[in-house]
Amino acid sequence: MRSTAIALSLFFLSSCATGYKASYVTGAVTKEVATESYVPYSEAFNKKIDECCAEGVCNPESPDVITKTQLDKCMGPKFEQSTHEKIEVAVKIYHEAAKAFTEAMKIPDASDEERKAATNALFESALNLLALLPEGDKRVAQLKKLTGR
Amino acid sequence: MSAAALTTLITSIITGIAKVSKVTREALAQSLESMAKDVRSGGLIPDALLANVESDGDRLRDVRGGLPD
Repeated sequence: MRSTAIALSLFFLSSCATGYKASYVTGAVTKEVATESYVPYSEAFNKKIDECCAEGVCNPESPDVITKTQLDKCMGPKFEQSTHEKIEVAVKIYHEAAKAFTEAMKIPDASDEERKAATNALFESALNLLALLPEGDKRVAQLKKLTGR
Repeated sequence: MSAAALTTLITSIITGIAKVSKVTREALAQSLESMAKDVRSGGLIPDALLANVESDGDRLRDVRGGLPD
Protein backbone atom coordinates (compact mmCIF):
# COMPACT_ATOMS: atom_id res chain seq x y z
CA MET A 1 0.00 0.00 0.00
CA ARG A 2 2.81 2.37 1.03
CA SER A 3 4.87 1.58 -2.04
CA THR A 4 1.81 2.09 -4.24
CA ALA A 5 1.27 5.52 -2.68
CA ILE A 6 4.95 6.42 -3.24
CA ALA A 7 4.78 5.20 -6.83
CA LEU A 8 1.63 7.22 -7.48
CA SER A 9 3.19 10.33 -5.92
CA LEU A 10 6.29 9.94 -8.06
CA PHE A 11 4.16 9.45 -11.15
CA PHE A 12 2.12 12.56 -10.30
CA LEU A 13 5.25 14.67 -9.67
CA SER A 14 6.84 13.38 -12.83
CA SER A 15 3.71 14.27 -14.86
CA CYS A 16 3.62 17.80 -13.43
CA ALA A 17 7.31 18.29 -14.14
CA THR A 18 6.88 16.99 -17.67
CA GLY A 19 3.99 19.45 -18.23
CA TYR A 20 6.13 22.30 -16.91
CA LYS A 21 9.06 21.26 -19.07
CA ALA A 22 6.88 21.00 -22.18
CA SER A 23 5.47 24.48 -21.53
CA TYR A 24 8.94 25.88 -20.91
CA VAL A 25 10.31 24.33 -24.11
CA THR A 26 7.38 25.78 -26.10
CA GLY A 27 7.98 29.22 -24.57
CA ALA A 28 11.74 29.16 -25.18
CA VAL A 29 11.55 27.81 -28.74
CA THR A 30 8.75 30.24 -29.63
CA LYS A 31 10.80 33.20 -28.43
CA GLU A 32 13.84 32.00 -30.38
CA VAL A 33 11.92 31.45 -33.63
CA ALA A 34 9.96 34.72 -33.38
CA THR A 35 13.08 36.77 -32.61
CA GLU A 36 15.15 35.12 -35.34
CA SER A 37 12.36 35.39 -37.90
CA TYR A 38 12.08 39.13 -37.35
CA VAL A 39 15.78 39.81 -38.09
CA PRO A 40 15.71 39.35 -41.91
CA TYR A 41 12.45 41.28 -42.12
CA SER A 42 13.94 44.16 -40.10
CA GLU A 43 17.07 44.25 -42.27
CA ALA A 44 15.04 44.29 -45.48
CA PHE A 45 12.65 46.90 -44.01
CA ASN A 46 15.46 49.31 -43.08
CA LYS A 47 17.24 48.72 -46.39
CA LYS A 48 14.01 49.60 -48.18
CA ILE A 49 13.69 52.88 -46.26
CA ASP A 50 17.31 53.69 -47.17
CA GLU A 51 16.60 52.96 -50.84
CA CYS A 52 13.37 54.94 -50.92
CA CYS A 53 15.01 57.89 -49.17
CA ALA A 54 18.24 57.83 -51.21
CA GLU A 55 19.63 61.21 -52.29
CA GLY A 56 17.75 63.06 -49.55
CA VAL A 57 14.26 62.73 -51.04
CA CYS A 58 12.79 62.18 -47.57
CA ASN A 59 14.25 65.44 -46.31
CA PRO A 60 11.35 67.94 -46.10
CA GLU A 61 13.84 70.75 -46.91
CA SER A 62 14.92 69.11 -50.14
CA PRO A 63 13.47 70.48 -53.42
CA ASP A 64 13.14 66.83 -54.54
CA VAL A 65 11.15 65.76 -51.49
CA ILE A 66 8.66 62.96 -52.14
CA THR A 67 5.10 62.68 -50.80
CA LYS A 68 3.74 60.20 -48.28
CA THR A 69 1.97 58.36 -51.10
CA GLN A 70 5.18 58.14 -53.12
CA LEU A 71 6.99 56.72 -50.09
CA ASP A 72 4.22 54.16 -49.51
CA LYS A 73 4.43 53.12 -53.15
CA CYS A 74 8.20 52.81 -52.94
CA MET A 75 8.04 50.75 -49.71
CA GLY A 76 5.56 48.41 -51.38
CA PRO A 77 2.89 46.22 -49.75
CA LYS A 78 5.47 44.18 -47.81
CA PHE A 79 6.97 47.13 -45.93
CA GLU A 80 4.51 50.04 -46.04
CA GLN A 81 3.40 51.62 -42.76
CA SER A 82 0.08 49.76 -42.48
CA THR A 83 1.84 46.40 -42.91
CA HIS A 84 4.47 47.23 -40.32
CA GLU A 85 1.79 48.40 -37.89
CA LYS A 86 0.06 45.02 -38.18
CA ILE A 87 3.36 43.34 -37.31
CA GLU A 88 3.84 45.76 -34.41
CA VAL A 89 0.39 44.92 -33.04
CA ALA A 90 1.08 41.18 -33.42
CA VAL A 91 4.40 41.53 -31.55
CA LYS A 92 2.69 43.48 -28.75
CA ILE A 93 0.02 40.78 -28.41
CA TYR A 94 2.72 38.09 -28.36
CA HIS A 95 4.72 40.09 -25.78
CA GLU A 96 1.64 40.35 -23.53
CA ALA A 97 0.97 36.63 -23.95
CA ALA A 98 4.59 35.93 -22.96
CA LYS A 99 4.16 38.03 -19.81
CA ALA A 100 0.96 36.14 -18.90
CA PHE A 101 2.70 32.85 -19.70
CA THR A 102 5.61 33.80 -17.44
CA GLU A 103 3.23 34.64 -14.59
CA ALA A 104 1.46 31.29 -15.02
CA MET A 105 4.81 29.49 -15.00
CA LYS A 106 5.84 31.29 -11.79
CA ILE A 107 2.82 30.10 -9.78
CA PRO A 108 4.10 27.04 -7.88
CA ASP A 109 0.70 25.37 -7.49
CA ALA A 110 -0.73 26.33 -10.90
CA SER A 111 -2.74 23.51 -12.44
CA ASP A 112 -1.63 21.85 -15.64
CA GLU A 113 -4.72 23.34 -17.34
CA GLU A 114 -3.75 26.88 -16.34
CA ARG A 115 -0.25 26.42 -17.70
CA LYS A 116 -1.57 24.77 -20.86
CA ALA A 117 -3.99 27.66 -21.48
CA ALA A 118 -1.19 30.22 -21.11
CA THR A 119 1.09 28.14 -23.33
CA ASN A 120 -1.59 27.82 -26.02
CA ALA A 121 -2.26 31.58 -25.97
CA LEU A 122 1.46 32.25 -26.31
CA PHE A 123 1.81 29.76 -29.15
CA GLU A 124 -1.20 31.08 -31.06
CA SER A 125 -0.05 34.71 -30.76
CA ALA A 126 3.39 33.73 -32.07
CA LEU A 127 1.83 31.87 -35.02
CA ASN A 128 -0.20 34.98 -35.89
CA LEU A 129 2.97 37.06 -35.83
CA LEU A 130 5.01 34.62 -37.92
CA ALA A 131 2.25 34.42 -40.54
CA LEU A 132 2.64 38.19 -41.13
CA LEU A 133 6.38 37.99 -41.79
CA PRO A 134 7.93 37.12 -45.17
CA GLU A 135 7.95 33.34 -45.72
CA GLY A 136 5.28 33.18 -43.01
CA ASP A 137 4.11 29.69 -43.95
CA LYS A 138 7.65 28.38 -43.64
CA ARG A 139 8.12 30.05 -40.24
CA VAL A 140 4.81 28.70 -38.95
CA ALA A 141 5.73 25.18 -40.10
CA GLN A 142 9.17 25.53 -38.48
CA LEU A 143 7.70 26.56 -35.12
CA LYS A 144 5.13 23.77 -35.22
CA LYS A 145 7.83 21.23 -36.02
CA LEU A 146 10.24 22.42 -33.34
CA THR A 147 7.60 22.48 -30.63
CA GLY A 148 5.96 19.23 -31.78
CA ARG A 149 2.55 20.90 -32.05
CA MET B 1 10.32 -19.08 -27.14
CA SER B 2 10.41 -20.85 -23.79
CA ALA B 3 8.71 -19.48 -20.68
CA ALA B 4 12.10 -18.83 -19.06
CA ALA B 5 13.37 -16.87 -22.05
CA LEU B 6 10.16 -14.89 -22.17
CA THR B 7 10.45 -14.05 -18.46
CA THR B 8 14.07 -12.93 -18.95
CA LEU B 9 13.06 -10.76 -21.89
CA ILE B 10 10.21 -9.10 -19.98
CA THR B 11 12.44 -8.56 -16.95
CA SER B 12 15.10 -6.94 -19.16
CA ILE B 13 12.54 -4.62 -20.74
CA ILE B 14 11.16 -3.58 -17.34
CA THR B 15 14.67 -3.01 -15.97
CA GLY B 16 15.56 -0.98 -19.06
CA ILE B 17 12.48 1.18 -18.76
CA ALA B 18 13.14 1.74 -15.05
CA LYS B 19 16.73 2.79 -15.78
CA VAL B 20 15.67 5.22 -18.52
CA SER B 21 12.93 6.68 -16.29
CA LYS B 22 15.46 7.21 -13.51
CA VAL B 23 17.86 9.03 -15.84
CA THR B 24 15.00 11.08 -17.26
CA ARG B 25 13.75 11.98 -13.78
CA GLU B 26 17.24 12.99 -12.70
CA ALA B 27 17.80 15.08 -15.84
CA LEU B 28 14.37 16.63 -15.41
CA ALA B 29 15.06 17.46 -11.76
CA GLN B 30 18.36 19.07 -12.72
CA SER B 31 17.09 21.15 -15.60
CA LEU B 32 13.84 22.19 -13.94
CA GLU B 33 15.78 24.39 -11.55
CA SER B 34 17.47 26.30 -14.37
CA MET B 35 14.18 26.51 -16.26
CA ALA B 36 12.41 28.01 -13.25
CA LYS B 37 15.29 30.48 -12.81
CA ASP B 38 15.01 31.53 -16.46
CA VAL B 39 11.24 31.96 -16.12
CA ARG B 40 11.60 34.03 -12.91
CA SER B 41 14.11 36.36 -14.57
CA GLY B 42 11.70 36.99 -17.48
CA GLY B 43 13.86 35.06 -19.92
CA LEU B 44 10.88 33.98 -22.02
CA ILE B 45 9.54 37.51 -22.57
CA PRO B 46 10.58 38.85 -26.00
CA ASP B 47 11.64 42.35 -24.86
CA ALA B 48 14.36 42.69 -27.53
CA LEU B 49 11.90 41.75 -30.28
CA LEU B 50 9.39 44.34 -29.05
CA ALA B 51 12.11 47.00 -28.85
CA ASN B 52 13.27 46.21 -32.41
CA VAL B 53 9.83 46.28 -33.96
CA GLU B 54 8.97 49.54 -32.19
CA SER B 55 12.27 51.11 -33.22
CA ASP B 56 11.69 50.14 -36.87
CA GLY B 57 8.13 51.48 -36.71
CA ASP B 58 9.32 54.75 -35.16
CA ARG B 59 11.88 55.20 -37.93
CA LEU B 60 9.26 54.84 -40.65
CA ARG B 61 6.77 57.05 -38.79
CA ASP B 62 9.43 59.77 -38.35
CA VAL B 63 10.44 59.65 -42.01
CA ARG B 64 6.88 59.50 -43.32
CA GLY B 65 5.58 62.10 -40.85
CA GLY B 66 7.92 64.74 -42.25
CA LEU B 67 6.78 64.27 -45.84
CA PRO B 68 4.10 66.33 -47.56
CA ASP B 69 0.74 64.66 -48.34
